[in-house]
Amino acid sequence: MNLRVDLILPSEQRNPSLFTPAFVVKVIAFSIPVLIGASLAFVAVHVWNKTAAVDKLERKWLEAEPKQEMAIRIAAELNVNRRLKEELDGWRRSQIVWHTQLAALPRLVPPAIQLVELNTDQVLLTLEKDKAMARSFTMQIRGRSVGKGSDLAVDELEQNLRTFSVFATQLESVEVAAFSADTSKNASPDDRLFEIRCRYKPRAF
Amino acid sequence: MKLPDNRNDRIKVLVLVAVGSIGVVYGVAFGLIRPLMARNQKLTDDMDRINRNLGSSAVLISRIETTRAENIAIANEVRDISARYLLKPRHGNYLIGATRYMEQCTDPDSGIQSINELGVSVLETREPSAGPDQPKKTFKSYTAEITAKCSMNALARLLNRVETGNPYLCVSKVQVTSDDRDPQRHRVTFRVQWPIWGDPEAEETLVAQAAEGAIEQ
Repeated sequence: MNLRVDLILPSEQRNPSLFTPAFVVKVIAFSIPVLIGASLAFVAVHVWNKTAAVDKLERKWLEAEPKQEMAIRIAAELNVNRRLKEELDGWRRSQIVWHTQLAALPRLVPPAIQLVELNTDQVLLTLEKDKAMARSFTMQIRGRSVGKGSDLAVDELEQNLRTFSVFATQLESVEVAAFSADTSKNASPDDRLFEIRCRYKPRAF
Repeated sequence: MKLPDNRNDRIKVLVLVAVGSIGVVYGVAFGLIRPLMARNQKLTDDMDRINRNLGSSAVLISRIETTRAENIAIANEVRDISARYLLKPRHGNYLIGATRYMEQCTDPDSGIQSINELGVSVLETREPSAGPDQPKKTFKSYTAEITAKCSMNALARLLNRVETGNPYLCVSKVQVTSDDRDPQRHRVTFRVQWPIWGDPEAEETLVAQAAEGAIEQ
């Protein structure tokens, strides 16, 4: 037989545990607003500090901006002037100094040859390599070769053009384009008319 | 505050409190925190942008004196080349300057007979491969044709003076034809191309820059 003795009424009973539902609810009810408030305060202070920092940076930028604009303007002017200088240097680079060529030419001509005509010309072209514009010069030499061994004299002139330094460094090709009998009145049967064509290496601007 | 004794009522109150709390949290999150975070993000972006600008401007500004000095040096150099070697129009006429230059280069053996104007042109290739990307040229070309009667040596001497007197011009064509009646003196025609300013404004800008540099120095 069991005997039960209730010393306190049910309404007077309390939960002895520390974490009662009511306690947990109270803690949550208190801590969530505190956390939210603290977060808000933290973010607000952070934003306020950052606003001040950005204002400081903006003032610094306002001071630096005119200097930067000036620096950009000067850099742009420098680029323009460099281009001008480069273009002028191109004029200088692309020419051929003809006086040295013409002064040297008579020294290359064998005694049996008489020059009749000399033509030089230029065309402008675009180089394949770097698409730069270049001057390409040609030289055409027409003459008369007299006596026996006319062909050898013309060969000698061609060879001299290929090897003589003033020409050799600048010429891309040398060829005898024509070689025929001289049919003029005073010509002997061994006399020949010839034409040599020289192409210079293109000279980029 | 005491919760109701009835279990169902208690649950209703708790649910109401929970819904209310969620509503408050949502309201705070969307009404306060979110705008603050957005503002924070904007400030961060602004800060990055300004710092980037300041970083790049610091490099530019630190080089400003070097750039200015280099610019003035090149502007002076180009201005000097322009003053000494580019052909200038006299009353809109380039031939006067070309003739004057050729007269300075001649000697009694040069045998110059005439100096004719061939005109102003733009140096450009006519090849399609050149494409549209060719940089626009600031300088144009003025060409004059000179005819003379002289020996090969005299021609070489004349061209020597022409070419060394102005290293920027170009003898673009030479024709020498022997004359049977006068074997010592040949019929000579040659063309000289001078660089000229294609855009007078570019020259004025350059002169202004050089003057500005001179004042600053």
